Amino acid sequence: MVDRIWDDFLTERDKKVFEKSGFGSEAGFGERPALLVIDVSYNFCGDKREPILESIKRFHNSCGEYAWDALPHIRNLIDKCHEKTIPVIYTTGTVRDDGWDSGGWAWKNSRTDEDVTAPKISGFNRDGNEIMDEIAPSPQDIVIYKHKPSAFYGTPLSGFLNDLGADSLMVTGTTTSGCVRASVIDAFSSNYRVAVVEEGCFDRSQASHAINLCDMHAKYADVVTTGRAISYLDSLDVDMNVPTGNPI
Amino acid sequence: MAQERIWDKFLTERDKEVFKSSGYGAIAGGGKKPALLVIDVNYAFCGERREPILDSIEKWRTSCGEDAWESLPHIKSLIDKCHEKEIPVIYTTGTVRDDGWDKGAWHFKSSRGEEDVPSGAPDARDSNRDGNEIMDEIAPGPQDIVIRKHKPSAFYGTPLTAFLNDLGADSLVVTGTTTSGCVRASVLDGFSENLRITIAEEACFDRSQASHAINLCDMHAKYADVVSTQEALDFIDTIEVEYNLPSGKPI
Repeated sequence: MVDRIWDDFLTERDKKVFEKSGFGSEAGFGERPALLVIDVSYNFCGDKREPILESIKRFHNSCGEYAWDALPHIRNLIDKCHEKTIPVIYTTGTVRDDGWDSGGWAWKNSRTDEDVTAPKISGFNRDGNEIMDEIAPSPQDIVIYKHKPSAFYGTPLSGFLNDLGADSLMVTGTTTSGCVRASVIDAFSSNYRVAVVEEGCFDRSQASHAINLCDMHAKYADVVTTGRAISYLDSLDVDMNVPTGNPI
Repeated sequence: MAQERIWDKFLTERDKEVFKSSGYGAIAGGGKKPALLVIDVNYAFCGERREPILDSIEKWRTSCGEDAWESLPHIKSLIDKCHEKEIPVIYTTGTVRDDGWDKGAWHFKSSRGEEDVPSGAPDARDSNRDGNEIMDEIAPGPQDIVIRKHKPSAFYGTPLTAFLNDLGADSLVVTGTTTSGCVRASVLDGFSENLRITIAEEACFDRSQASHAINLCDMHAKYADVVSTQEALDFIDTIEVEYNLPSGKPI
C-alpha cells in the first residue's frame, strides 16, 4: 500500500478497521466523464498567493497557499478536457446584496456579512464569487451558480449531466471538506462514478482535507493523482453533447 | 474556545488558528420545533452484541463495535425525552433488494458489499437477521416515523422533507451512524434546507476514530451545533409546542 495523505491522521485501530471492513476498493473511472471545478473563486483563494493566516484577514474563506498550489493542477485538467472535447463544469456561489439568501450559512459563521456581492474587502473591487482568472471559463464551458454546498442542490446539474450523457465525474476544487465533499456525496447517490483529483482539491484545514479525502476514498469515490487523471482523459475518445459556445 | 473538543487532538496547530480567525463554528442555536433523527442504528452498524470492533466487523462488515453500544443509552434517553415531550422521532434505516440490484454505487467501493443484502452472510453471524433491522434497545414505537433509504442522506429519494413540512419542524436533533457517512450526509442536506441542526455528540458513532472526530469538527464549523447529550436533553426540555404527530393507531 502506498502512503496516503490521510495516514498520519488515522489511529492505528482506524487503519485496521478500514483494511478489514472492505471499504476503499477501486470503483474505476466511467466512460463518459465531465470535469467539475468547484468554487475556485477569489473568496476561496484570495487575490494573491499568501500564507493562509494572512489571506483570511481579508478573504475569510481563503485557503491561502494551498489554493495557489492547486491552480496549475486544475488548469492542466481543464486544458486536457478542452483538447478531448470533454465537458468542463464550473460552480461558484451566489448571494443577494442584502444577504437574505445566505440561510444557514449566516448561523455558523460570524463573518458571513463579508460574503455579499458588493465588495467589502480592502483593495479588492470584484465579486469574491468570481472564478479565478488563472482558470477562467471559456465560452463552451458550463457555469453553475449555487447557494448551498452541493453542486447538485437546487441547480440544473443533474439535467445537464443527463443531456451530456455523462456517466461519471472528475472532481476538483474547494473546499475538500465542504462543497467538494457535498457534491461527491450527491453524485454517489445518483450512481455516478466519481474520481477526486487529490492535488486539484484544497481546504483551509489540513486535517479536514486529509480525513475528507480518506472518507470519500473509503465510501464514495476514487481519490487519484493529477497524473492518473490526465492519462485516463488521454485514453478517452468520446463524442459528448458539449455546448458550442457560439451564440445562436 | 477554551473547552477541549474531541477533534482538537486530530487538528494541526495551523488548523486551530485558521478555524479561530475564519469566523466558523459560531453557535447556530436550536430552533423552535425540532424533530429527533435516529440514523441507521441497526444490527449492520452495531452487531448483535457488544464486541470489540475488529471482532464485530468479521460478522457485520459495517459494524462500529463497542462505540455503537456506548451510544445506545444516549440515543435511548433522547428518544424517551422526545416521547415524554411529544416531539417527533424519525428513524432511518437502509433497504436493499435480495438480489442487490438497487445497491448502485455502494457496489463500486466495497469488496464485501455482497454481504449487505437481507440474506447476508449468515454463516459468519449468530442469526439470519436482516442487518437493516433497527436495534431492539431503541426500537421504534407505533407513533414514531421510520424512513427506508437507499443512499447516505436521510433526504435523498425519501419523503423526509415533506414529513418535516407536515410536522411543522424547523430544526433537527441528530443521532446515529456513521458520523462520517449517513449522519454527515443528512446534516448537510438539512443545512441546505435551512433547518437548524443540533448533533448529540455521544449519540453518534463511527467505525473510524479519526473520521468521527473530524466530521464532528467539520459539521460544527459549518453546518450544525455539536453538543453533549445532556445539553440536547436540556434543550428538548424547553420545547413546549404542538406538532401534527402520527397517532400510531390504525385508522
